[in-house]
Amino acid sequence: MKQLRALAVTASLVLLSTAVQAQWLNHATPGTPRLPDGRPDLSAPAPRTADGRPDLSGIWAAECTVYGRDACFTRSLFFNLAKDLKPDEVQMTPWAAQMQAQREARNHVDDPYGYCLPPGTPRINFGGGPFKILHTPQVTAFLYETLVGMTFRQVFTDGRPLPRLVEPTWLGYSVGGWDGDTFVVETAGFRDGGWLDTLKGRPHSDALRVTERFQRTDFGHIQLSITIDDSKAYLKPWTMTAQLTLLPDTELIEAFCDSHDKTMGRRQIGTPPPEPPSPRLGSEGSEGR
Amino acid sequence: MTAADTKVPGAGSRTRSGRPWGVLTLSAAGLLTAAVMSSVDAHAQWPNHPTPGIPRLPDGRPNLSAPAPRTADGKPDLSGVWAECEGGGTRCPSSERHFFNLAKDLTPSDVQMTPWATAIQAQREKREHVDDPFGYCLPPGVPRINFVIGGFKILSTPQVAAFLHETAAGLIFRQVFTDGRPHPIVTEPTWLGYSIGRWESDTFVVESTGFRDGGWLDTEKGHPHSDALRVTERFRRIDVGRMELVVTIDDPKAYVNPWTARAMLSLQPDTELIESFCNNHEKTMEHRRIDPPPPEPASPPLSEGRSR
Repeated sequence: MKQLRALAVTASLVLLSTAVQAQWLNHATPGTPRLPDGRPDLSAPAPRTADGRPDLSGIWAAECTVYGRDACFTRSLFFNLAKDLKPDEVQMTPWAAQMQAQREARNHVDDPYGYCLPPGTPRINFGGGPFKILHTPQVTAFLYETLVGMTFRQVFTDGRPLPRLVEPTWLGYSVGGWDGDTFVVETAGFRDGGWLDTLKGRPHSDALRVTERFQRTDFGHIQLSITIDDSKAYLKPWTMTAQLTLLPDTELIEAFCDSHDKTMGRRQIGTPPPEPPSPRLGSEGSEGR
Repeated sequence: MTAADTKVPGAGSRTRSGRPWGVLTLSAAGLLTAAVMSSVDAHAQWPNHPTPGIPRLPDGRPNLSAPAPRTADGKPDLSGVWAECEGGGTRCPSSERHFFNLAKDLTPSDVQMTPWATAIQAQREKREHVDDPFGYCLPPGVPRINFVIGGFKILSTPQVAAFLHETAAGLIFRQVFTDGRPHPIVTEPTWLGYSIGRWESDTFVVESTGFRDGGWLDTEKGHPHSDALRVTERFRRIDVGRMELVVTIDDPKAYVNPWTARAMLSLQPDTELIESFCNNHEKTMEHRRIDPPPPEPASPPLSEGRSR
């Protein structure tokens, strides 16, 4: 039942946004190795940039995370970021457990993603559309086709440290570097109120630190591992892995949030009680760390 | 970059029955004020980080009049955060901003509307700009997105240039394909269109088509466009600190002749785009509504307007 409710949220969100989606003519992606029949050779070696680093460029999506009208989406990391983990690997603090219970009890209608707000990090990697990675010398851009808009993240690679943050955000502040052939992105500076996934409604706090490790194993695949380190919300850090598949010969297409908030408003049970702010570090949340 | 600068005293307390002078400006300013104020809480102040690669004066300040940098292939390097006016518009009166009036430097005869466009513009003004899609978490459209107060960053790669925009409705990107592909036949039009780019000498020329009806070219005037819109943006970096942007609007359903606006963008050094998303602003807009909006009529078939 819970799964059906979350599906309903997502389905209504997606149905509305299809009106503003556009189908571009497919254009053969330049630089793609091909089989004799012209199809992309997804098992060719991973390409490298001029500086010898793996080239992560391309359009990527994890299994089932590109919205389609089938049940696959409900089995995606978008719905449950910890779907391959055991419950004792993802133990919540009392604050987080209470918030998750409220989100489920209210049928997921308070998900900010339903109100034209971004899905947050790392959910945005699995948020209903694929994403494109673009490398430039000082910043790697992640361009996301989400259900609420064409949104980007910047990952700074010029060696700057993560700043001390004054005003937290949905997507956080990201810096990246190379660990061998793995591109490692560290993100902090989040706000309370984000959802790590959609069916489970797993909370995070402003203490969240996300580590994303991207390793391109061949032309068609990236191994992505994500570590959630949030001492206010989880008793210990936890790590999940996903395989991203290259989507060749296509493009991101425009989708924006077109009055979906009204649909969500109709689905509201009552005025949502505010979720309590996350506790200060060193009090409740740090128990067990 | 911050967006907290378009607050207009009194705009929030203005009543409809007491409309005084300068209605258009105040209405547009009110819309903007509401849009900006509600998004302020979603804005973040990042600590400023010196932008790498900018030439500096002896005292460390950016040398904005140094020659424009070039990329390894010899083309001008357009990288950087850009905005109209210094400080992304914070020191720039609204009368000087193309965001409010894209045709601000043109004469009325330069920008002659078709009857269809005239009727739509009149409706938008009569309804005090409350139907502007930018007020409802939708993107400001092209070319208006270049003139929003948050500014934008250009990232060039061999096959695509990414334009990253900080808008009051969210962090929004545009892709400009530079791999030589032609314009597709667009079956489903969009707010931001489909863009391809090429170099003409030292000028980066971006052609965009595939727009939908219903867009606003600017905010105070509410100049309409149709699905026949073709936008040409010509970016020419004059020196480190300045980039000229020349925009041509070619829309035979909406305008009798193509017309061209010229803007100057300023580099915003040692700062970054900051997160801003549309946080319940549509509710603010609902409060401002006079009554449900009559739908704007669809654009006529091309034969009724000027032929291209």
